[in-house]
Amino acid sequence: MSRRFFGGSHKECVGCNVTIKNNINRGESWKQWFFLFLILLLIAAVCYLFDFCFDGKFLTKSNLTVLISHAIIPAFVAWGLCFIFACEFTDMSIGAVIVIAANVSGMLGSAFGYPGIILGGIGTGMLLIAFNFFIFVKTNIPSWIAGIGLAMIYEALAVLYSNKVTQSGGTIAQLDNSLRLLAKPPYIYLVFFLGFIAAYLIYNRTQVGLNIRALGSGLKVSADLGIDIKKTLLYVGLICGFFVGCSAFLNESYNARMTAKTGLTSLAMIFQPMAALMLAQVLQSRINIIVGIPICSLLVYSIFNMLTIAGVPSGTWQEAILGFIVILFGVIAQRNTKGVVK
Amino acid sequence: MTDIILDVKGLYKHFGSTCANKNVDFSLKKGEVRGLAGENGSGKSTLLSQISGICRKDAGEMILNGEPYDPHSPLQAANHKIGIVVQELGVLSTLPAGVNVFAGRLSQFTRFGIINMSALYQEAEKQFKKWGLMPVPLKKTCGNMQIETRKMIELARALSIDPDLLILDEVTQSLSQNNRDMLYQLIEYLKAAGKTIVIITHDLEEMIRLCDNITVLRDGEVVGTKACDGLEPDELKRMMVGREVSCAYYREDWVPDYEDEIVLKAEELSVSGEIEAVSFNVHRGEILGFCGLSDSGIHTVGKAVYGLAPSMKGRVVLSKKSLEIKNAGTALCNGMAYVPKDRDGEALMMQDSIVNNFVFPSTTSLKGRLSFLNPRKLRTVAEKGIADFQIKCSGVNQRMDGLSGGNKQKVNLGRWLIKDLDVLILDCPTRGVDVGVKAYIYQLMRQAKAQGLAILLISDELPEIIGMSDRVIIMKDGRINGEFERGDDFIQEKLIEVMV
Repeated sequence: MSRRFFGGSHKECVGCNVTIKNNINRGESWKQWFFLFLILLLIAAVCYLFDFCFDGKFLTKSNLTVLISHAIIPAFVAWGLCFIFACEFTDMSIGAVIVIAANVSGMLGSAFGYPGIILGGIGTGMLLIAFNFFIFVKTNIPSWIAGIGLAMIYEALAVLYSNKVTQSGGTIAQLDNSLRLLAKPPYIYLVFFLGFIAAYLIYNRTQVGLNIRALGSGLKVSADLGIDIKKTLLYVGLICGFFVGCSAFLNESYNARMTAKTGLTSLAMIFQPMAALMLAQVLQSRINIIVGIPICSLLVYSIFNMLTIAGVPSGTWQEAILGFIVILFGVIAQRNTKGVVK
Repeated sequence: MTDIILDVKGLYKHFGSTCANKNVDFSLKKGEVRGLAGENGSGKSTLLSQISGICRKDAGEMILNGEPYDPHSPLQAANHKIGIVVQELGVLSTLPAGVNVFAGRLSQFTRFGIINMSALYQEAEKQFKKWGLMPVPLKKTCGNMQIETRKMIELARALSIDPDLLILDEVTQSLSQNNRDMLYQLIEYLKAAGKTIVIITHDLEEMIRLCDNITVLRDGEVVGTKACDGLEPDELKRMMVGREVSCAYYREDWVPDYEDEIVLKAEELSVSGEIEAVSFNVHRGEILGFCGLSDSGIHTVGKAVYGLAPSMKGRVVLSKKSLEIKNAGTALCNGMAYVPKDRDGEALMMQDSIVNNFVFPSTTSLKGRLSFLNPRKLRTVAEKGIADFQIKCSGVNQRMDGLSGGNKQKVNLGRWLIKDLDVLILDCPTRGVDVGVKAYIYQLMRQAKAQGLAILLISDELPEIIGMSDRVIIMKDGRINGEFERGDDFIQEKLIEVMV
């Protein structure tokens, strides 16, 4: 039998006579930045137009300061959710975790100052969400079901604490005004900047970040490629907990106190971060999702702010418009896709 | 120093009550190219999975370079310089191609916990260049990439460890001719460099051409090892199956044989960046073949005709009804069927039962007056399908992912053939199936053709195209580059000349 094959002999490379082109599209990142610039320009133009239409009420220093602070806090939650969604899990107890972490942050803050605020929030967030993932891993219950169960437990714990302190004549943890600087400029910008760097690096530039994203491709393939799935899922809990904890201490610093939620109303706390995350997801083919999250968060809160200024009733109408905008973004992002996107 | 790189003794592996490998003895020499032959489910992939750390052995021992060897993960196998390209797709679809090349081994690019992505992409690019692999966009996530591109990434990953033992499990069948040629050269190069290669392919002629020796497995046991010099495919088939196998794979007539009636017209089909102005007619009883190199767009033609290609321009018209096919729903309801190349990913519901997979395309005709589906009726259809198409399974409720590749493909094809069809689009229908199933699929195609079905046969395998088609359209860079009718010109060399 002949052992001759098509093609030529080996020369400079092992392979053959295929034309070797540059595999790395170096124009991609330039395009991403340009698209980001365009988005920001578009947002700025809309804001300017809106400000012009409403007698300069929108682009005032005080309004913008409130707006940015409002956008930063849920951006942290959205970053946390981003890691959970990347591995195709979900956690419905995040709102309840924020309530507990904010209260712990308030308690420790009152006792130990800023270290207590920061460590209380982050520590509680990491501990509880890592525990959630431990439960997901150990029980094999679908994460959304286990998450709802855990949300009920955490809500109940917060209410028990609240009732206990109220019955003993006290009030729930409340931060003194002198300890609320973290949610005010310029400190909130510093917290945001550090959070952004951490999220960007972990998601894009660390082995654990890539492993978490790999889980989204399927657990078997990931395991075959040497990824320790259980360990990685616990890392997801810790990382998400870190960002949720940051959001908790910022919430506590911004509002001074956080009341307990009941009847799964804590679930609603993640809807707006989720809207920002979904917008960032639809834009992620153009903008890195970690960069997209704060932009989309700002966009979501700008829309709410604009609607308030325009006199649109809060609640129903504002949220209906937000829902419409989320769908609109989805349509724009998927305009070249035929069929159904799950 | 011994020239044996790997010695496997008395290996056993069970999956539940099934004994996938039984007392397997198998040794590999340095610089040897060894083939592993056997029917689907004979235990070839299981054996290689144990060598490459994908699964653990139950009993027996493995000696690698004179040392006991028992890897618990592919990563550990890679540390012993054993690389594998698995049969099913093994890329992380949510991560960029470049990251996939070094998946599980990212620490080499990590400093103070941070990965140097630009160094990683550069190194990945170097690997593609070094081994002469088809370039792929390294920063793009793999999810939407074609099977062939994903196979290239897997190959780059296996080669990036500079393996002493490279395992290729049904790789060539995912590749088009140019990339197969590249792989053949790569194998020659590695062999010359003293590396050992183990190949599984259902193309026995290819295996005999590439390998020094071939080990045959049957029902999990080693039947024997044969040197390839002078070995004939028929002898190999006999060893694999345990009885004489007829060679009448393909059609034996050499003239086109179809009716004048045009069943389907494709007019100026274009899909941005993939195909451009592709027009053709398919006649009743015709098998129209499509072949081409990796970037020729043949697979997109199948999707486009069935209404699955995104942003497609042009028209696909079913002549009998003068009906334009704009989406897969219209195609399905009007006597068309599509069997895609990526069987597990695009065609079958792997977590679902055989019965649900089998009846799925026929639910419209199976539903009752009030639109309910009668489970007994569905079961009857599936049971008949299992009997008619000789599907080996434990029953209609067995999950698809428990079937061998050949039986999955029988379900995939059979569920369409029970319908009253006018047009059947087959994209690489014999990918990953053994000689027996392959012969059976060709037989089904011949029967369908005789009943007047128009078949579009898209394939990366030239012998298949030549063996089965009445006409063949050759594509290059997304355009039709030539057309041949069954006859004297229907030979591999002429087709390749037009392809390249």
